[in-house]
Amino acid sequence: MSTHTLPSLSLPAELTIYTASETRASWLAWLAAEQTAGAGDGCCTVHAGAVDQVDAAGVQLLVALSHTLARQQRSLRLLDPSTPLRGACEALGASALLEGSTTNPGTTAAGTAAFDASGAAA
Amino acid sequence: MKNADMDTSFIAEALPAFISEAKEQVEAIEQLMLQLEDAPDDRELLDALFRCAHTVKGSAGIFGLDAVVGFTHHVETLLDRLRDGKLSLTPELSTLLLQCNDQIRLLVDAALAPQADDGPAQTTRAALVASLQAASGDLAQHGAASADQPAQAGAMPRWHLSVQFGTETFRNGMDPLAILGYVAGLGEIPRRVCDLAAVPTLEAIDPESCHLAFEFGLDTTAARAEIEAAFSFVRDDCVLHLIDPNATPGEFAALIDALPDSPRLGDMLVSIGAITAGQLAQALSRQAAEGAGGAPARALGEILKSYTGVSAQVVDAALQKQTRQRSAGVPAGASPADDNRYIRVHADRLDAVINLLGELVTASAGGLLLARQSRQRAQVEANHQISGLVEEIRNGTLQLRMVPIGETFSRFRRVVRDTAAELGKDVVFEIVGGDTELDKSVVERIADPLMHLVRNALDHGLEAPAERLAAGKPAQGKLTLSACHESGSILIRINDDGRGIHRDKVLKRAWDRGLVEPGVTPPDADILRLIFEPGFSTAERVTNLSGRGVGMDVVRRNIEALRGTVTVFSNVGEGSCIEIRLPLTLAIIDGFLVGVGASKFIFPLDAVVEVIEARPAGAGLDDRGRSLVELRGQVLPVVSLRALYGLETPEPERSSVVVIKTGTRRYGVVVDQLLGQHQTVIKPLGRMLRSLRGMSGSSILGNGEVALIFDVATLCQLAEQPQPAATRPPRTGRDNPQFTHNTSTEGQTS
Repeated sequence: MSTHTLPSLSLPAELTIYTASETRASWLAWLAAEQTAGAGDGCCTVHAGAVDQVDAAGVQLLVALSHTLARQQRSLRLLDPSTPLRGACEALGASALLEGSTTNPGTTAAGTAAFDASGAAA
Repeated sequence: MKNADMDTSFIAEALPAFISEAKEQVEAIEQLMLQLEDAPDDRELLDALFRCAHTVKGSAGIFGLDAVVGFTHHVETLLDRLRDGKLSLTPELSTLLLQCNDQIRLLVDAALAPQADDGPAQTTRAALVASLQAASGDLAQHGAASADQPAQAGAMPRWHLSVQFGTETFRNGMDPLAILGYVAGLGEIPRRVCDLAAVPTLEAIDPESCHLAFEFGLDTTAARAEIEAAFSFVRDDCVLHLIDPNATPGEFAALIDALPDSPRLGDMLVSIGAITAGQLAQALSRQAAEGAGGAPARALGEILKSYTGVSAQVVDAALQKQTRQRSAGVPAGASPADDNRYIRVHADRLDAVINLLGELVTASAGGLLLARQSRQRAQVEANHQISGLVEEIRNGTLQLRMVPIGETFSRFRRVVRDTAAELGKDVVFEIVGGDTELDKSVVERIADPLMHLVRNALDHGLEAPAERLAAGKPAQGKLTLSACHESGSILIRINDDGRGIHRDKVLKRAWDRGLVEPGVTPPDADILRLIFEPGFSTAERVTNLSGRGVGMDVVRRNIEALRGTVTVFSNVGEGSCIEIRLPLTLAIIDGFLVGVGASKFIFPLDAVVEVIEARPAGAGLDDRGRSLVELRGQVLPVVSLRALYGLETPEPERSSVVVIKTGTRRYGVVVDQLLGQHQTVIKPLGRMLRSLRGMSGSSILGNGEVALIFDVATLCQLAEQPQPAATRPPRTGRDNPQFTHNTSTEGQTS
């Protein structure tokens, strides 16, 4: 997973407290790789279609990622956020994360996981 | 999924822990209920009660124990009615709740063995649920109505919630997402905002710490308690502010001041419409202006308050309310936080360590002795150091087993309450010195004898109200259970202000039963001790509580098995007092080693007051070795061990008197040699020696010699006893029923 040849970042299927540490590590690695490759400016597009389990820790991590990108004068753009992810962001009052996100069912790069709304709040 | 497997194994592993914790909660519910009966208006008790019930329900839900959840839910509903002040606690209601609590306990037990939940229990529960629903009255309809209402949200009051989750939230297995989801279920959340700026960057964040804080409005008809309950699982480490629907801007100002760590709070409040941007901006600019003027800037809330023209009184009230809310969270918060600092250890492991420690103490004493004999200073010093450390370890380890007796005592509240109700008596129950600590194994084994004594006091001691009034006493009887430390032992007293014990009746019964030779009248104190004889009962009426004559002798046997003594005092018409004296621990004590001739004896060090030089030995002793000496102007009775135990060794030239205290009395014991402090591992006396008077056990010294350990209380009795006709004391008194045995049963120490 750590050897990105500079494809854009894809969110994992499980974005929860159980995966938070490894997800953070892989994102940091990805950011570093991108930096050395000299790529990365303006919008940072992240594939978000595969997320089917998400909790507050996952959303918090995503907020942290957006802060890091903001420091680099970039913005986070979620590509095709899955229903559970949308639900969680809205329920946590973090709809700002969803701003600028695209909803284009045709361009799901990471493969479409079965959407499971169980992770989302009512 | 592998998650499902993990869940199953997790549940199987965690279930015993859940059960033991649920039992603690159930125990707490019972105690709180009983306290609440005495103080029905105590809001904190009620809140704590609700939290306990809620915790049981919630954690049972995690384990899928639907029966517990279903039943506890009804209890919770009733408690909520009480909290809302829609109901007040009547004795009937509290009886109902106590009965329900018993059912919850049964259900929790049944979680381990589901088949144990049989038909009759289910019928009982159904009946209780019916009573609960009847008691809660129209609440069910009320609840249904509030569920229907969200359709007309415009009319609903809007609460404001401000919540900062603690950093440990995720690690404690809680998910703010789920909690907010639950809150959303209570009504409607028109707008919500998360303090995103409080989340660190990806580089800086600990992904398992929670940095989330939320501000949101909630349109709901739910009561404050219901909203608070949504946060009950994170209450300990989250900062929750709940602002009334009809709050003033001043309260929001107070909120801002209360959360100085969230600089963006003002904006957040504006963004969800709690205050207007104009109010905030003006307050902010004023704060800046004041700050620029050199004076310390006033708190924003304060400015907002003065700006919005809200009276100081209102804000003070709001602040006080918050303080109250926060402090209400403390009792619940304090105990789980404390819990985290405890480790549950299996008692067997602790016992194994203590057994080993006993061997270690003996072995190190042996080492020290050998070192002394070798006369090598370095070796002696090294051994001294080892002994010192062993002693510290010993004290520390024994301390691990010490538990306050209050827990055991408070179990009797319920017994007293139910028994008194059953007997138609009005009794107030008092506990004194509940924090007195003693060995866990002693606590466990004293509970049954105490239970019997308490029931006995209720049944036989305390009179019915009419009888009390007729005797010129208040209608309400009083039963006191107290505990305190006294010279190395613990003293438990059961006091009642009842009718006392009629010596005549006791004596007559004893004659009838052949316990005492008919016509013989023993001394008063001895008559009272007859009640502890097997087959003795003075009850005129056999009840299902006591009075079958089984029990008091068992009580005495159980207490004596713990190396304890039981004594009864009574004045007719004024009540009785039963005194139980128990050793603090069954295993190891600090002893004071003395020698008489070649024999070694040990006194519990706590009982030794001082040591004085004896007058020329043998002077003025009676034939049982007793005499009197003067100690600082006071007369001190003295007993010589040589004479008392008939030790046939020559008298030494010099001897000493060890002054011993027991209870309020002091007496001296004449010994030959003082051998100093000694860590004493108590070994039980064998069957042959069990009737040896004045001894409580034995100990093996470092060199393999055996020393006998004195029981100071019985030794004192022995020394005080009037001269029996031409018998020497070290003989057991079968003809002498009042004699208090005080030796241990085999197998119960070590």
